[in-house]
Amino acid sequence: MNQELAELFRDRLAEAGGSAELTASHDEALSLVREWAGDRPVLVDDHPDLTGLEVAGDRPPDPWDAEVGVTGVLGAAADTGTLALGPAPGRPRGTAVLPGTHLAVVPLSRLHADYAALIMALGRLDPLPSGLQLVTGPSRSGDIESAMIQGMHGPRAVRVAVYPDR
Amino acid sequence: MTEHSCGGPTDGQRSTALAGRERIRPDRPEWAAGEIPAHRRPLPLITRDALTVRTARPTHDRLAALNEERHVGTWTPEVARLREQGAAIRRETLTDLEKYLQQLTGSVERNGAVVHRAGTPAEARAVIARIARENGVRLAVKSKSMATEEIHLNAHLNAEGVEVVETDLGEYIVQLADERPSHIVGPALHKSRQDVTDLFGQLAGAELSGEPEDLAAFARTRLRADFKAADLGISGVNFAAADTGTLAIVTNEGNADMVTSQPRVHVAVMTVEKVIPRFADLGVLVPLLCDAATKQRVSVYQTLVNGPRRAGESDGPEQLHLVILDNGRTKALGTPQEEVLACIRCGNCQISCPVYRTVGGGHPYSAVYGGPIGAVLSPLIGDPGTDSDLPFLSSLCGACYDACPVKIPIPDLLVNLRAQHESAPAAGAARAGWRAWGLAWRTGAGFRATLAAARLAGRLLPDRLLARLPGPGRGWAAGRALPPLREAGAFRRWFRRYDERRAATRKRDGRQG
Repeated sequence: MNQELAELFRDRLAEAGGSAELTASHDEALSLVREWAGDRPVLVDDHPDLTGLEVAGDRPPDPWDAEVGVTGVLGAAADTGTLALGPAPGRPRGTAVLPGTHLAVVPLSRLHADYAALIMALGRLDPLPSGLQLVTGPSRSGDIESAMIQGMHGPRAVRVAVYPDR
Repeated sequence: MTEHSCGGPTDGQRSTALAGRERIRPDRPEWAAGEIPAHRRPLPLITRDALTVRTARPTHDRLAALNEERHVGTWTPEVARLREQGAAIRRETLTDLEKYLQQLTGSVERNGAVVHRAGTPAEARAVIARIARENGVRLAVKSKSMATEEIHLNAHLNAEGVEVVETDLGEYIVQLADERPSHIVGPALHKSRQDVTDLFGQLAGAELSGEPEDLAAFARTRLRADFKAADLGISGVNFAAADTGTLAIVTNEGNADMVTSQPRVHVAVMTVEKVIPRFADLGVLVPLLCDAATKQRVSVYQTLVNGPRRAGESDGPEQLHLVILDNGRTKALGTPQEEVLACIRCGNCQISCPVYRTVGGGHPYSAVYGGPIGAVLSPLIGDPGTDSDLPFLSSLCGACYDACPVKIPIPDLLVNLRAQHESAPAAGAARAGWRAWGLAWRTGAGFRATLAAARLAGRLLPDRLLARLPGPGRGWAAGRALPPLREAGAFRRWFRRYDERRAATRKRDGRQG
């Protein structure tokens, strides 16, 4: 069941212009993220799911100079390919929107079947975080003759490593 | 693509995105302007002009293509289910809107934000101007919001010395062109890529590549500088959950995430009907809105705001204000017209409407909201009597009802408004005229007398009579042509002769037979 959901998540995220890899372990997910990040200037959220992640790039003093942002998630939805993030100390809102590339890790236990289930789960958080960012693929715009442009204000690329955590 | 050195902000101006704006040569009809003239010309004249402007045909073709591609008016079984649920949720709040607004206010205040209720656009503008003044704001970035269009916020803040930059790509394009959005979701749907290339080229003072990717990159670079420099972020609200005080903003570009996270003050502006009962309702309404608006399962971003930044957080606004605007809406509660308050602003009815497509989008409606929903909403908001003729810009074909994700009976509401328009005192003279005409034509003698009178008038009066009408009559006549009066009754005379000939032929044939 979880495997099917993970595959649905991967397919739907791909339809939205992003990409996901289904990995065998947390370690494998982290090493994929390290590889994707390369040595570009990077922001890494202070998130338990990212414990042990070592990235080669420097952390720029000004977050606007980062090229990569790495986050964990509060949850994800398989049928839409959506990630849900919430700000907290050490997890600014900017990580997922300022850099041109957003990388995230998603544990299977927090992957919900559909968007409505994700919303229900977020609504049960007590207290709710000061904000919630729901992200489905790279930023886009269709405002010039409906031509789809990828990477408008937010990231041009969204890459996700999914891993089993139970 | 590189920008020339003249692209940076100059003295007194902080916005990078708007630098060079003075180089732009406006190229738009009067009725497309950001500021709607207080006394606009009669609709028939505007729509006649609208058909002749350069952009009308290509806009029609683009809208028609969208209508086809998206199969507007049909719903997959999955979304049809959401549509039933969504329609019910949107009517829940209408039974006691004030109760839900009170609940929302309590929740938002508990979240640490300040709530301002505004009855009129003037009140809303005053509140926002005060917030800007108190915080020493000089540059504001805005994510797309029809509510702020409705209160003409940009012009007002500009007059207060605050630059306002639209950050949605389509809104940025229409802002530069000094126009209004022509569609609720796609503000620049009436612009071709050549139009945008020319516009950005004038702004940059340089020739630019016409590739949409390059044009978007140009806008991205300039707007990024403003996201970073702005003191104030202004956003709309798609849905406001009464139970948690969550303000949900739906975008594809990510500009709402920027606007609500980077500036130190965030003002969200919503109209009263945006309140929804529960946070969980977002699970239905967001996918429904996105299917109807852009045929996406969900948009790229839903930005949910639950309050200002908390202790220890390094971004997010220090202050959050929510402005709740009525502007005449609650007058509709308890009347059949309250259905319009179920609207979730997807713009699907606009794309589905043959009249909207033919006139080249929303501008000729000469109101903030165009198309079918605009023709129902606009007469309700603002000064009484304004836009009461808009419901006539419809063929009542019913496509807008099929296209509506929350099943608003738009054609019925249009008919109601037409009846109201006709029973208004201003229509009294017209009614007396119709009544006199009806009396005159009740008898054959009366009918023949009017024909004779028309023939006589045709001989005595100049040909170009309509062109010579004085005062407002000339404006009215400019959209109309009078049939040749001298020929009044010509068909009847022809028919009589035809009848006589046929009778003669039959008599002759009868003799031969």
